[in-house]
Amino acid sequence: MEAVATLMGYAILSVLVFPGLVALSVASLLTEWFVRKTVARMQNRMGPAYVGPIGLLQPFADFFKLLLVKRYVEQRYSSPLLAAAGVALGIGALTTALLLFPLSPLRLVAPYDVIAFIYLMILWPFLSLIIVSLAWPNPFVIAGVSRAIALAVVTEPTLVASILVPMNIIAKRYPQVQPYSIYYTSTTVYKLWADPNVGVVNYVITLLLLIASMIAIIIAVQSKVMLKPFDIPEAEQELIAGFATEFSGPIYALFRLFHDMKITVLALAIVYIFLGGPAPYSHLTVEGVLTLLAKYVAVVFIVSLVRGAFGRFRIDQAIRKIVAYALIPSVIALILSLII
Amino acid sequence: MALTMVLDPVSLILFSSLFTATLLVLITLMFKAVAKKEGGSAEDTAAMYIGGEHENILALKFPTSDALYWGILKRVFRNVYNYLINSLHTGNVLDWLKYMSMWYGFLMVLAITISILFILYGW
Repeated sequence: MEAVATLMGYAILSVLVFPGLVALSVASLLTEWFVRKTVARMQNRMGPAYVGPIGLLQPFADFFKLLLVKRYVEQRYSSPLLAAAGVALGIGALTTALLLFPLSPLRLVAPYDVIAFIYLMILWPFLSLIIVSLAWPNPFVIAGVSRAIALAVVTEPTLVASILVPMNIIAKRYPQVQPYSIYYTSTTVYKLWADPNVGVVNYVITLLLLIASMIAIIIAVQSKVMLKPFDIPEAEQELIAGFATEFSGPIYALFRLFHDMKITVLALAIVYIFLGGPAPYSHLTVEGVLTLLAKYVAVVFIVSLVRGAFGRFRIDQAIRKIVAYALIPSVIALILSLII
Repeated sequence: MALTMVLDPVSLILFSSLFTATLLVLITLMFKAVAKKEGGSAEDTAAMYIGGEHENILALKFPTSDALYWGILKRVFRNVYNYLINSLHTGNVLDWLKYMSMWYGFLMVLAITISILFILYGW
């Protein structure tokens, strides 16, 4: 009985507070601030500046104003409850995905739990995007969604292939009880970056594979969260706002939060699966927390840098670029990681 | 400090689906509690936004989203298609023979190699 109560306590803490809904929302809004500020500085603009010190609280102000003050405008064919449930589904899946990482007080570990990660990180958020968009139908929305689907055809396989590269190498080199689990990959991956016992050639090949798959996953993240140059599904000059055309008030607030959460969870996934999280320190040390933060900021900075540096690709250009620079390298890296 | 639960993959999927469903219900209820609807039922608010056009414009023939999706994919894979067509249909039957024998030859070599490996080592 006591064990069940402890489990419930841990589950409630992890799902609702840390790293769950509350902490993830705060982290996502701060990430949004960082991306907006970095891109603004690159483009010689001020970026968020009015609310909080150096505009730090601007995304919070935007979110709460949209959620609590603004009203949603209903049109003849819209279904606000379905839209809210759709976006809640995406936020729920992203939040639950964090329980697979060593960051969480309640850690869910299973052999091959990468399948659960793909289910929570790739399947549900994508379906949720489609549900929430089509709950407020409009010709622009439909065009935006079909472009998003066309991008997903090449983006999602790239994400899966890149994540599997370090997992394959770890499963071969450091056999464990739970192969292909996010938890064991995250706690072991730092050895791949600094293990002198495998021989020079093997070490160099491993590094090349990790770097190739990291570049691929960063491009895939850029495309999955539809930041420039892959923001053609919401190209405002031709589609108004693509799938977000009809959103207003609280629905738009939740949709923006969902978008920020996708960036946060994917950046955390890169930090843990490729860079080992707080490694070489542990989580509950000052050095560990600072290392984790530094790696996270570095990944988000690269994402913002790409967003600030590129213009928008046409849909066929975007697909071709993802295939050439992300999908093919990640698939080759995946095959090589199975061979070495 | 931390509680690590080692599960089998099926239970993990069930657990994570349970957590996702809990959050879905919670956030939807929160939305219901705080969301306010724009009042009034004027024609402007009830109509969908189509760049200022009237809804009648939707009666015109639109390319379907399926057509858009396949159009994009076809455009991307047109090079592959053109390459295959051009190497097959040159008008010279010998080119066709060369192409087909090349592929069948490759498949034969692959099949023979796999058969030999299978005979020697088994699965």
